[in-house]
Amino acid sequence: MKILIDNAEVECKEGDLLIEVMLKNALEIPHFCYQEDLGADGNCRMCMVEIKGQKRPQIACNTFVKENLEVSTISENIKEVKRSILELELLNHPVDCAICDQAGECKLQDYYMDFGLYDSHLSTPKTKKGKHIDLGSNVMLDQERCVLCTRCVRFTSNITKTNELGIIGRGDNSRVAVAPGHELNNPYAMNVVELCPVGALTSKDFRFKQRVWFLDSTKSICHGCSRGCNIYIDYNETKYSAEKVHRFRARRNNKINKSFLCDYGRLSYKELNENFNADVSHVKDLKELLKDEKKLALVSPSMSLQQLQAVKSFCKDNSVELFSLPYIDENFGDEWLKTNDMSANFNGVKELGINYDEDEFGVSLQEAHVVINFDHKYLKNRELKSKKVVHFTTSHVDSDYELIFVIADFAHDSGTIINCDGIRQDFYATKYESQNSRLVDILEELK
Amino acid sequence: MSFSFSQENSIKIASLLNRYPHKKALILPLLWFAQKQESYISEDAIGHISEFLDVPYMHIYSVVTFYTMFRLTKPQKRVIEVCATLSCELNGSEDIKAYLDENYSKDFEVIEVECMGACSGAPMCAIDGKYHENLTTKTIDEVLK
Ligand code: SF4
Ligand code: SF4
Ligand code: FES
Ligand code: FES
Repeated sequence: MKILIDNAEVECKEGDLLIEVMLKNALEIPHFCYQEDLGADGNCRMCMVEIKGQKRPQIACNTFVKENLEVSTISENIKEVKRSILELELLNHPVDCAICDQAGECKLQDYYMDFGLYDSHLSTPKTKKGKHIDLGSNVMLDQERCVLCTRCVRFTSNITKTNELGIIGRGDNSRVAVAPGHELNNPYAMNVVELCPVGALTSKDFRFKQRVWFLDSTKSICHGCSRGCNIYIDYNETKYSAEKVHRFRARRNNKINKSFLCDYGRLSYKELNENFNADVSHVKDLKELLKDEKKLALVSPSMSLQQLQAVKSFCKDNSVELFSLPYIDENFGDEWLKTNDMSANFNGVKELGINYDEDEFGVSLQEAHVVINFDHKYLKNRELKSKKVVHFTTSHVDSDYELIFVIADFAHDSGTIINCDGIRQDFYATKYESQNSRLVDILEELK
Repeated sequence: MSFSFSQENSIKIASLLNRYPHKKALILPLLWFAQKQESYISEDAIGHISEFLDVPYMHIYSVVTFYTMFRLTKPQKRVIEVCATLSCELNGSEDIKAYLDENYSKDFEVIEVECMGACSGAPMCAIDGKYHENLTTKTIDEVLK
């Protein structure tokens, strides 16, 4: 079935939600309260369109398409309607974009530039509301910037079902709040910052650090657990400082994380900034060590398939006994995204047939003279007496070692991982070269 | 300092329970009972109602803040509620309020409220919940002195 939107034919099914049809076809449709995963709420009226044969404008988030529907989003009439709605939205808004962290990714700012541009009609002072309210879980609220779309409220009531947020008061005094003596406190809380279409909810972790238009983004996968939530790594390199990752943002994947991340995963970007410089060893010294008979290697189950494959071949060529052990934390997983297996690619370990038997590993470890650790967390800070330890590592190592090679982390070495449900996913490196070599290249040199 | 409904209120609540298809419908009546019982709505009362109705705490709190007639702090003085809705307004509620403010605000908390359903006796007020109708400055003095 076809309908007409601004005189162009658009393919859809009878009964589809108009706003979804438009978003799917990348057509401009301003909206605050509708969100793909939270659904429609119909409170913001920003998505007004004109429908042929209907006297009044309708909201696209509550219009179901049917045969011969003709929609206009650009007529003079509908522009005027949007201007009026925006005027109401901004009535008590401080218009402080210049100091607002959302600037550059704010829907209100965008729509104002498109449809607003009016002089304020307000003759009375703007209603004053709360500024920089610490809601908990790194989330800061500016009630004056809020457009009351209730996305954040619906997230805590319908998605996490923790119900911390609500709207209090009424009329122009309505505002988002937590109840006195309560705080926003759930393992997914920071999603509300991303959901908020304006600068009302900002992240304590990110605010005032960067202007979003100075950031580059790369498509990646969170390595925090085996769910493999899709993310953007937002990073940049400024004149006076080296490359830095500033945040992870959720990247939509309807099969895995929709548009959400857990707070643990969201904040795990910090590991990528841990600058670690050691006096890197020489490859030839490793060659020397490899002459020993009893060699064992432990590889991190968060390495990419490409890395695991290279490690596997290396071990085969040099008769090194290879193991991998998953990172299990019984207290991490939950009913939603988080899984007890905190390794990013344990399914990859299994696919490549790498031995993950803990008991066998224990026995072999006792006998080994040379232990090669491929970035596995368990061996990083463990003293192994009377053994020669070699680390290939992305982060600081606290124990004694014989040789150390610092390797590029997952933001600088693209690859593929398999998540807990067997979904194979690629992630990509940022545009800057890492100072550290890629593991695969070092192993190539050893051949 | 936990909250529970008085026996009298509990009986009333029990009879209301099967009047609506969903318990949630009882939020307002329960808030009224709580406020009548304690003169304000305490955090404990909100918690109790939330558990009793199986509705999130924040939701009950939202409702309390939406309606101006609910108060979240204990009154420090006796309360005079002056109706300021249409009938009373047309019959001089503004003057009544001003008179009360001027002469009695030391001993009473004088607040404006919405229509209390006693329009035929406008202007009116309630002192400690008791209605006084067809008010004049004289009748106020008679009642309060
Ligand atoms: S804080 Fe943001 S997400 Fe929440 S209601 Fe306001 S504008 Fe919407
Ligand atoms: S659930 Fe796992 S993969 Fe998803 S964001 Fe959290 S730690 Fe990362
Ligand atoms: S998006 Fe349709 S009313 Fe808000
Ligand atoms: S208007 Fe005052 S009691 Fe109705």
